[in-house]
Amino acid sequence: MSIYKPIKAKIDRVIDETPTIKTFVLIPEKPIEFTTGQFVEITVPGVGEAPFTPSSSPFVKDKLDVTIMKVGTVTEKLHEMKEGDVVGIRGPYGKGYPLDKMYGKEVLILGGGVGMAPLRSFLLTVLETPDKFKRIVLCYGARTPQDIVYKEQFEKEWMQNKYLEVFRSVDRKDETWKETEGVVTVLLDKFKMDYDNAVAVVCGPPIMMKFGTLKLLELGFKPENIYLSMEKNMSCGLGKCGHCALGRYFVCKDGPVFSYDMIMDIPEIWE
Amino acid sequence: MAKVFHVKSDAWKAGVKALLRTYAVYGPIESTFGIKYSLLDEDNVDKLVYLGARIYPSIKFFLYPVQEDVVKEIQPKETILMGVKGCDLRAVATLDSVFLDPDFIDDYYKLRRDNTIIISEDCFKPLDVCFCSCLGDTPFPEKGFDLNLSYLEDKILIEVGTERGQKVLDEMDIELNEADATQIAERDELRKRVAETILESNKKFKFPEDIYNLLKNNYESEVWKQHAETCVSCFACTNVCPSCHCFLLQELKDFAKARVWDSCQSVGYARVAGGANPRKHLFERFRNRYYCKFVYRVERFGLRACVGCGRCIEACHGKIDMREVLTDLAK
Ligand SMILES: Cc1cc2nc3c(=O)[nH]c(=O)nc-3n(C[C@H](O)[C@H](O)[C@H](O)COP(=O)(O)OP(=O)(O)OC[C@H]3O[C@@H](n4cnc5c(N)ncnc54)[C@H](O)[C@@H]3O)c2cc1C
Ligand code: SF4
Ligand code: SF4
Ligand code: FES
Repeated sequence: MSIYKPIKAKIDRVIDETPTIKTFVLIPEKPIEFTTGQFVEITVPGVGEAPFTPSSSPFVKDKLDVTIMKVGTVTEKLHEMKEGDVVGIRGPYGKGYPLDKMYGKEVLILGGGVGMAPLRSFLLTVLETPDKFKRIVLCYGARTPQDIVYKEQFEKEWMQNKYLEVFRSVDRKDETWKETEGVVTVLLDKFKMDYDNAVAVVCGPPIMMKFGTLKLLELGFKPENIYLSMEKNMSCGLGKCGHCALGRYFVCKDGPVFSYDMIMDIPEIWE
Repeated sequence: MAKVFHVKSDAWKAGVKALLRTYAVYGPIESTFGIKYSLLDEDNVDKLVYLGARIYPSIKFFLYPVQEDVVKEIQPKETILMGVKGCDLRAVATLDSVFLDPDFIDDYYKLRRDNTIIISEDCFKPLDVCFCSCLGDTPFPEKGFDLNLSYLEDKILIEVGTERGQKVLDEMDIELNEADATQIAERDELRKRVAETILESNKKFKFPEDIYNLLKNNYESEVWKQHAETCVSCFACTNVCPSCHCFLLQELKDFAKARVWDSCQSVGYARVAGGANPRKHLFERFRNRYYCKFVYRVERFGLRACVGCGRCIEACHGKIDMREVLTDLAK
């Protein structure tokens, strides 16, 4: 059996999140069991393959959501696909979030743009057993109010959830926006945490990852408590093709989630 | 101790002929275009030569083809590769570490690997570009072969590396005599002289054997920029290299998929969707090849991924010599 061969998955539903982001609910031939933070490779036959992190809860077994931003060849083709169409899927790959290291601690979820995709899966996972965590704070930033993903879930579920504190910002507001304006890091000044012991889970565009991490360090987060989802170019997802190499690591195998102390000495991390 | 036999060259050739019935046998033969590495047949097997140094192409081309469909089933014929040198055997070990990594085994590589019998040889006529000895490696195979040949004046010593090698030897149906201590000493003396020759011919290059630490301390050196100036991003260096393993999966129709060689020297290699690229500048990609070989893969797999075969030096359109780069870094 070839490690490169995908199984088929039917598109069950397509949800428009923003003008450039859609969530696809997939039903794979065989259930793909993943832990939160692991990723899959999705194939558009004849076009290409690309890595995505499921944005759904790992507790849901028969379906799997991926939230995809349209940025290039493969993602454009995916955005043209409809309910009933078939894609290829293989995985799960990599190491997810080390939940056991977070039990009993204050947890900060820091997301930007489509970076909320893996974080939603993480959030849904921690919300299964919220008592295991001392506190759960979610900070999310998007460019404009139109660019916010999972709008309904944010407003109807998460912002109402008693275990969860939610802060949101947009870079440029419009007349509908009543919350914060500014880059997502400004949200971190709105509350205090037990920084010495808190853990942060960060995902977003490279620039946000960089400044987010620097801000967290400044606040007193320990490097080993900052978990970053590294986005690197990937092809195989299996530690073979070389594309995702980040110094001594293959991001696809050793990551995509790294604690900052693992990678802080590597020069190429933020690009 | 491993078994070592001696045979006469003529007897050996006759034995190789016998193998053609069962195996696809590749070896260096004399042709009108010089020495060519070819599939042997009844007609050309007589032109089989002892090639003093490593072959072109590298063994990588056989175990890991330039382009391969990695979804359909394959049934490669049992193959014998002759004339493989120590450098290429060390390179195979580095490819194994990637493709046979027990977490995910590449069955296509494994199938070819399992189907390939390696008859290696001591290197007795190193090329100008060879520098294995400068890295602390030997110009003769130490492990990883099924059979190893040492061509002495009037005979060949055959060292048996594996049971499979012994089986092939039996199938050759030639008269074998166990080598005596004098013959082995003769071989070892010759091996020593070859290593000295390599060091001598590389005298003008001055860099330490420990390139790992040399690089660790020179990430920001101007040398990378200086030497990258003549690089034309042709990828010859990574293509000819026996230990470069990078590829891109190419999606074909109907969920078919090909694994195609790729190069870290290409500008889009590490680029991500938003346009971010950790190695935007040519000198960064140039530097990456060295770091991959001497630092990252050492840390990741415990194996240095340059075996000093010098193929990249020969192939470079920019006349970039790895040994000069290392010498300048060590200054
Ligand atoms: C572990 C991981 C998880 C990801 N999760 C998500 C997610 O949940 N949602 C989402 O919208 N995006 C996610 N991405 C980013 C997504 O993979 C890229 O946007 C996508 O590969 C772009 O492909 P494209 O063909 O549309 O773009 P193009 O720019 O046309 O890409 C061409 C080729 O470049 C390579 N490539 C380009 N960008 C990337 C990239 N960022 N990562 C890897 N390879 C790349 C691919 O080989 C691709 O075939 C993730 C990336 C990684 C590494
Ligand atoms: S880097 Fe050059 S010298 Fe080293 S193994 Fe590759 S081709 Fe040979
Ligand atoms: S062979 Fe020479 S010119 Fe070509 S990519 Fe390699 S270093 Fe550059
Ligand atoms: S994506 Fe191929 S090695 Fe990581």
